[in-house]
Amino acid sequence: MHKRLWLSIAALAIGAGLLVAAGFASPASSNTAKAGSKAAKGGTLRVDQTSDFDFIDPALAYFSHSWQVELATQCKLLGFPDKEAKAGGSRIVPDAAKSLPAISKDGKTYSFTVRSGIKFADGTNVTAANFAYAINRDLQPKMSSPATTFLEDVAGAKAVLDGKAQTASGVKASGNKLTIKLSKVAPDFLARMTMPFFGAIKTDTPVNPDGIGAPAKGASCGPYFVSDWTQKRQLVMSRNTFYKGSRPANPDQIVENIGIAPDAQRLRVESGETDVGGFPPAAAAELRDKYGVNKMHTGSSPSFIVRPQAVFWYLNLNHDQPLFKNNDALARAVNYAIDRPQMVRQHGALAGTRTDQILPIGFPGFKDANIYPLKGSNYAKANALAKGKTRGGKCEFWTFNRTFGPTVAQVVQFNLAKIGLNCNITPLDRVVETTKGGTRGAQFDILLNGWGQDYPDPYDFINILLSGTSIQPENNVNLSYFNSPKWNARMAAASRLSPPARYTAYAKLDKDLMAQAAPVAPYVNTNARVLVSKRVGCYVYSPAYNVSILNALCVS
Amino acid sequence: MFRYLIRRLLWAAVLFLVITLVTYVIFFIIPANPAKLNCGQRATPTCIRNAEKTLGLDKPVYVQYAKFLERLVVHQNLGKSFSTRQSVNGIVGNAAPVTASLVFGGAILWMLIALPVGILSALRPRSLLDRTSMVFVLIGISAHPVWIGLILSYLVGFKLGWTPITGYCDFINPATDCGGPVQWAWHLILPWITFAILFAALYVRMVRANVMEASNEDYVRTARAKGAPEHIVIRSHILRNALLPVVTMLGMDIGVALGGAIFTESIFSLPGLGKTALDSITTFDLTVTQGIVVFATFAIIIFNLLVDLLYAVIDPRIRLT
Repeated sequence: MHKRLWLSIAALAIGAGLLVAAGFASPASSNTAKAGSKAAKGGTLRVDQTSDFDFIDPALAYFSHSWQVELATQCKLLGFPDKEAKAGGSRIVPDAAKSLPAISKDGKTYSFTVRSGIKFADGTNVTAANFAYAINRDLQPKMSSPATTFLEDVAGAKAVLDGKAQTASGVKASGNKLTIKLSKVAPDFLARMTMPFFGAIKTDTPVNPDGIGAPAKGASCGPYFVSDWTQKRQLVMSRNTFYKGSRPANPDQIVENIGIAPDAQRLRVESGETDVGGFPPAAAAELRDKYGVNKMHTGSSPSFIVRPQAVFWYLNLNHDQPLFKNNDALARAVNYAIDRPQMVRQHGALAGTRTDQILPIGFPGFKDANIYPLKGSNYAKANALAKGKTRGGKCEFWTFNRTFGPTVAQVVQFNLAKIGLNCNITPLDRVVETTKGGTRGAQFDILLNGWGQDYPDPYDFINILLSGTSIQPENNVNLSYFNSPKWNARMAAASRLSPPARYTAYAKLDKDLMAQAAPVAPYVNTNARVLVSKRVGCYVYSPAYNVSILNALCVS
Repeated sequence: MFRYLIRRLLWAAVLFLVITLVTYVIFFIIPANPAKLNCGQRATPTCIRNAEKTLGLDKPVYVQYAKFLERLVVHQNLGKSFSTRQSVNGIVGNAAPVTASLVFGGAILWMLIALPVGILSALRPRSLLDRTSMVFVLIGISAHPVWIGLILSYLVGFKLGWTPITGYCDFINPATDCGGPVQWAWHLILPWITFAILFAALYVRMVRANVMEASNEDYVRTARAKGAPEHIVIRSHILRNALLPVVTMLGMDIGVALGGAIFTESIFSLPGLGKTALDSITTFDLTVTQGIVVFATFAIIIFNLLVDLLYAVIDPRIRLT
């Protein structure tokens, strides 16, 4: 009996100890070292990534963290300053080009002059031919490059895409002069040319759908080049010693550790094993309370950085299905009924800013219009609009089955029940959701979706997501299947304008679309949330590419 | 023995065909197009068409499967990743040693725990050691490896700083800036413990039960009655019979685990087969998924065969026919 009692106590102690360990969440002891000075140059910057890069080949790289690598290693004709938005980081500026291009009177021909003295990381000179080659290589059918989407209006591009020509007739290079002729006026062309697909590449780079490997000196005329890439392990960027431009190249080396889970990234940043990393969204509130927001604690503790992104999350309202077909009143009712604050809360603390418009806040063409309630639901207005319009009151809601997908859907289900719409939620894998949803005839009424910019122009949001002219049998992006001749015409007209009239037109279009037709129900513009170690002395975020500008970060 | 081997190999080939075919069918039932994923969020029909041609997805499913078999059998080539277009042979070849490091190291650790604890528990039933080991078994079986891994990573790696929080270093020919036997072992300490705990608990129970059962057999009573020293009785009579099932289970568990210790690899960011399989499934990368399935199938088949052959060697009563 005595022995049994002691054994029971021992077992209880072990179990209790494990429970204490599970609840053990006291913060790491703070480093009381003095705040160090911000080191400008030198050192190795360590960055953790959750997943591997898709490619380092400019023709193929499309993941956002792959573009972060391209940003540090490439030179493009046009780019953005390595600065925050408020310091001018959203303005298109010449990079390898001497100046912004001369545009012909008909608006279809762009003439660039490439600066002399730019070199690839192997010392070879960069000329106009390298940019022409990049474009033509992107168009090769064998490459299957995602860049083709953004080149279809280049004269002669179709012939290359169809395998009938090797080069596009509209792309001509001679010495340091590059001329690009388009088949139609496209005022967003300059914004498109800032994409990493069009960085200079050596003309002997093979047309290989497997992409280039490391060392990638022949694709790097920026401050760094990819010197090593061991897939699923590590990518290393080293200084391009031939780079003499004005872009910052602060760290001596940038090492990206691949495949690190978000919770491990957080611990590694806090312990100093790495310099830049993420964290599980559920930890955002704790980190905010611990480190404050956007306060650099160089030398003493990590810093929690939050920056707005050109990304928004929204509900597609399917106009192909009976519920929302020719039913603008119900679509507007949904926008009044949804509880945007509660939906945003499902993304975690500081996840973003509530919105009721298509264009992201601060984006070219955005103008705040105050259309729908951002502080909660307005059931009175929603019910007034929905009265007699619910057409049976049943709806099918497709969402994705991870992170905030199910919980946002449940919030919306609750909200819409208040206006007489009873939604059945179907959670699907994200890829399956968009593939099935992108097939014409899909049997959903509402679909939870997100969209991020490819390049900073309102066409990339409004026309791409809502123009009925792009609807096809499958692989659709306009998942509201919104197709109104009146609105299609307005979108087409706005796309033909140049700034500043362009942005004014899109601002009005954004407001009118949401106020009158409401083909979607936007609710948040997301933030990028990053944790940087106490070694990081300066931090810069690119508003144009939605990534940290690694070459501009400095470590002690 | 020869006929037995031939029969097993033929069955293995049938099993392999069935498993790979099922994987293909499941993949193509799921409504996701890898070619569209290649072309990005604004995929055009032209880009998708070209990508389908590049990836070989423009052919009927049965043609794709036939090409896969031909590539594998004739050229020993698992194809190229849909997402990254890297060689799947290379992807599996890089990931397999990581998983092997985890599994074999973990197996040694769990046997080093399970054998002495299980044997001593069985020889001293209801003692303090026995009861303590049963508590350990209960905890080891109940606690999920993910939870154990997170706790160890946080307490030992982060709070105490005794080991790295995550990561992997190669034993030889390091691919990154850390490598060598010492770094390799240091980075695997926590993953080995995490991986081993569940199996150690299960094996303690199994060894204890087998030893207790063997201790009560007539031949053991006879050996003792004839005056054999206790250590001879334990070694030559009890353990020899009690550990036979352990050999079987060990081979099967290692074979299955070589397919990918997903939980442990995910928690500790080990770039092994489990994590690679998880990544490939979420990105709908059929060729990589299929490559890992092929490897895992071979591993299980080979290890099961080795176990059966070893069993026949250890126990002369077993005849393979």
